Order: sequence, then C-alpha cells, then structure tokens
Amino acid sequence: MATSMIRRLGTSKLLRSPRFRHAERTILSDAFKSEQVWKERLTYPFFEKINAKEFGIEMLTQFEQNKNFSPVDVQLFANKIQDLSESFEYVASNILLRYRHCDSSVPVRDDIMHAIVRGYIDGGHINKLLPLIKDKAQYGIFPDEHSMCLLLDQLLEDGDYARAAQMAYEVMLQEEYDYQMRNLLALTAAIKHFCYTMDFVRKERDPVDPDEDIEYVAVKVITNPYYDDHFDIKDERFLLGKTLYNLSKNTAMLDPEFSRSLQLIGLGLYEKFELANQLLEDWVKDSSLKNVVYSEALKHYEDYLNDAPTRDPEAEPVSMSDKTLDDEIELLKLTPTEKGNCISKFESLKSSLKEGQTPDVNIEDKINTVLASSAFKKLEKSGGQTFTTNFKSWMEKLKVDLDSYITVVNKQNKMVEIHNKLVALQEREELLRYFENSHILKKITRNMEEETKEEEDVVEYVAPPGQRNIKKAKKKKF
Amino acid sequence: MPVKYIGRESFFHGKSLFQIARNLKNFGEGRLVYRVSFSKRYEEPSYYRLTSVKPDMNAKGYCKGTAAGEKIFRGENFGICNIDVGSKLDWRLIPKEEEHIWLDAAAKCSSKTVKVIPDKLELPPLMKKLFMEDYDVHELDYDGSTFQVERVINKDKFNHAVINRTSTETVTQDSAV
Repeated sequence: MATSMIRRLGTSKLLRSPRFRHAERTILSDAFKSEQVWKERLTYPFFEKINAKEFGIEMLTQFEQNKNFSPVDVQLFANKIQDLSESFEYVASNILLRYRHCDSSVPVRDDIMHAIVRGYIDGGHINKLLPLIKDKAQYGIFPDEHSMCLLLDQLLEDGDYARAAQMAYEVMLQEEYDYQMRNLLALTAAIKHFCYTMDFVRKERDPVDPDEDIEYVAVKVITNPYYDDHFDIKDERFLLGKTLYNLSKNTAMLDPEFSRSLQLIGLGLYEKFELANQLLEDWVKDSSLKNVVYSEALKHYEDYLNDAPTRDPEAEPVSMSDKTLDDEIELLKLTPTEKGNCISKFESLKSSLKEGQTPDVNIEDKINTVLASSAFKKLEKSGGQTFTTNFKSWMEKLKVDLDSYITVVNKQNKMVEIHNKLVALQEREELLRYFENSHILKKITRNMEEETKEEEDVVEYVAPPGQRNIKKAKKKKF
Repeated sequence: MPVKYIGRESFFHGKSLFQIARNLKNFGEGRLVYRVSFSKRYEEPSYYRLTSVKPDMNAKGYCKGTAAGEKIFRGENFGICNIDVGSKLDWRLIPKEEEHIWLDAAAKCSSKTVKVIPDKLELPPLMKKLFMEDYDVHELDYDGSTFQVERVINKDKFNHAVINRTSTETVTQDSAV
C-alpha cells in the first residue's frame, strides 16, 4: 500500500513543482553527466566573447546574403544557447531550420547536436526543443547518444513521462541500438509512461458525413497511399508497443524473462498477435527456460488480444480515388476468424505453461532495480569517460576549424580592401593624366556615340509570310 | 471536405527515396532500401545500400534530389552507382532486423551461367549471294570460311557473354543468339 501511495504522490503536481523537484531522485549521476567538463568550455576565449542573442541575429542577417551557414558559426552559437532568454529562443529555432536546408549540415555532427540539446536543457527550454526533435524533416535535430540520455534523464526527473516516451519513440524510429545506456533510459521512459500516463483509449476514425460536399480533384496520376508501419505510425498505442518490443529485445542488461515479458506486452499493444503467438510458442517449447514470462505480461496480452478490433473480410475494397492512409491501416487488422485462431492458440499455450513459469513480478519495480544495479553504475562511468574523450577531440577540432575559418575570412576581407584601393588608384590616375589622354578619351566617347546611334537607326524588319524563319544554307568551306 | 481524386492509377506502392531519407540521420547513410517493382519482378534480391543522399529540401513534395548507393541487382553487386530514380514512389526501407535476410539471399544467389558463343558468324544469305556472284564475276576463289565474319560483343554491365575462340563451330544467322 505504501508503494502505491508513493507512486501516486510521484505523479502529483505538488511533487513536480520546483520546491519539491529535488525529492525525485535523478537516474544519472554526475559521473555520466560530466557537468564540470562541459562548463569548462565557457572559459575558452572564443566562447567567452560571444553573446548568443547578438551572434544569432548577426548570423541570420548574413544568411540573407550568403544563403549558407558555416558549421563553425553554428557550433559557436550552439554552445551558447543556454544564455538565450525565452523570448529570444526563436533565434535558435530559425537558425536550426535554415541550417537543415544547407549543404553543410550533412553529415550530422555530434558535437553540434550535443551542444544544441544541452543548451536547451540548461536554458530551461525543453518544451520548445521536443517539437523540433519530432519534426525531423524540417529541423533535423538528431541528438547524439550522450545528449539523448541527458534529455531522457531530465524528463524522467521532472516526472514528464508522456514527453519522455515521445523521445523513446524517436530512439526506436532511428533503430540505432548500439549504445546501451540510451536503450535503457528510453525503455525506462516507455515503461513509466505505460504504467502511469498512457491513455489507452482507441481513437476512432472520423465518421463520413454523406451530405457533405465532395471536392473533385483531377490529377494525372493518383498516388497510392502507402503505410510503412514505421515513420507513418500515428496511433500512440502502436508506437509504445513497437518501442517496448524493439528496446527490450536490444537492451543487454535485462533479465531474459523481463525482456520476454516486455516483448509480449509490446507486441500486444502493437497488435502483431501472430508474431507474438509464434514467439510465445518458441519460448514455451524451450525446456531450458525456468521462467517464461511474468503473469502481469500474460494478463495484459490477453486483454489486448480480446479487445483487438477486426475488419470485415468481405467488405468492398475502397475505390482508388477515395483511398486514404487510414484505409491501408485498416487492412492490417485481423479478420474475425484470424482473431479466433489467435485466441485459441494463445489459450492452448497459456494452459501448457506450468505453475512456476510465470512469476508475479511488477514491471516498474523490476526496471527500478536495474537502474539501481552495479552494472548500471559501470555503464555510467564508461559513458562519462567516452564523453570526456569525445569532448576533448571536439574542442581540438573546433580550434583547428576556427583558425582556418578566420584565415579564410581575413583573406577575403584583404582582397576586398585591395580591390577598393586599386579602384581608387585608377580614378586618381585618370584625374591626373586627363589632359595627356584627352585624345584617347574623345575617341572612346565618339565610338560609344556611334554604337548607340547605330542601335537607334536599326528598324525592326518583319519578313512577309512565307519568308519568315528560313535558315540560310551555310556555305561549306572545303 | 472529403477529396476524391480522378485520374490514372499509379503503378507504385511505396515512398520516394527522399521522403524516406529525410526522416533518418545523415539521410539514411548505410541503410538498405529496395524497389518494390524489382522485388515483384525478379526472384533474386535487388536492393541498394545508400552512401550519399542529398534531397532538395525546398522541392514540393520532397521528391527531388541526388542519391548514390551500392547497387545489388538480382544478386549481383555493381558497386557504387548513382540513383536517378529516387523520385519514383517505389522505394521501401528495410528494417535493420530484416537486413540479414536480404544479405543472405543475395549471397546465396547462384552465379549466372556465362554464355559462351562461337566467334565466327555466317553472312546473311542475300549478302552472301551477292558476294558470291561478285567473286564469280571476278573469277576469285572462295571457300567455306570466306563469307564468315568475326563476332563482336558489345560488353556492358548487363551483357557478360564470352566468345569461344578455340572451337571451329560456326553459327548461321537463323540460330544466331
């Protein structure tokens, strides 16, 4: 009872207010975050002199002329985003939007992404960062491994499980599972969201109003709407299910039965019941497994299977001109017979499970024990060490790039200066030698007058019909 | 207001390469993509491993740009080629967990039997007749090999035929490959 009370208190607004914020334990310690190392960069001379707001506005005005950002400028600005006030945060988002559309933004640089994400977190603008990360096409912010972990940690610390789960979905969509700390934190976010803040209500399609006027659009080719079941997923149930399934499969630190339970819950939410039944069958047949899945997972999966919507297999296919993405999603649902088969298969598998094979373990408690384990602390330490080495290499590269950039800019300025001096010298010489060269100047002006006169004398000649656009035969030179 | 489209049905059921790439880090560098129409047409697997994709971010519908990737066509690796058809709505992304299926299928593809053809070819019959009459008029000698020509193969990336220069077998025009 005490644990459930504490759980309820943890989600209350009172505890999430600034006064009580430090009551929630942060998951990541400073061994991973390396705040001291990060703050040291501000002592470097090239960062000290930059005022974020003025530098950003200067960059935007220069972009109007050059239509390009230099990565060095973007990196210098990104490291100072935390100094921007909330009313000037638009400067950062405008720069990021334009930078995404420049050629110099590819390949995506981890040092710039890290600085952006960390700057937004330290500046307190997380709410404005999350929509930018979700809009990958326009803003193209792909946080590197370390900064994604920091972002997830901050959101979990604030108790904002719904938004932390949104970030976990982004981790799943990129399908990069090499960095275990990121997998673990994203999985934690997904589980917390599943346990507390997830709204399991199914969204129904908008009903078609038969009296509404139809707009007819003539096109050359009607494009087929294609649902790729990855980036096109809109239903949060599917996103959460796929995230739980993929992350639990690829996170190395979990107990096997814990991983299997999460995979089963994930596939149930994602409504891939045939795959889930196949996996469950393989696990049941494997006699070496002492515990197969948790009883809580079986119960959730059974509920999802029984509540799964079905489609009518004999319904008329939607005509080409009316087809939308929702119709494609509808085709992936099970028919009533398929659902019946899945249910009967699941019942048989469930009955074949022996008593000791489905322990009663709470999922949230289990993930909390993983986060408190010594293996997690080792992961933190190694993560912090890799960050410090990366950070040093980033700063060295920045120094080198900055020096070369400054020499290039100085050279360009020098060229402009020399050109202006030459022009001034030429004008001076003309003035000094006017009377010596006056006869040449008169000749030039007379030629110019004749040319303009010739142009005026030419009358527009239109040939009679039948003789227009006849190409004269060219005489071949032998 | 519901919209009803009137027009020709499209052949393609997929996305353009750039619509896929702009959702991925580095525009999908290193990921596998395949064309749906090739997967339906040929038994052997055909896919691309993307190396560089540069979408035109200002184009309407995000369908334009340049791309290059390692081309595996019907199990055969053609190296890094430019992809000109990235704007066709025929592309699908291969999930990372299914990549090994495609790679194994490509490795298992049996090497195609190389066509070996004789190096001599008879002249067309009318041409041969004209030449024979000409030779007769000028009282020149000819034998079986006078009215034969050497075969030349235009080798390109899809044509791997080989000429067999050792055999004496000839091919007439009727049975020409």
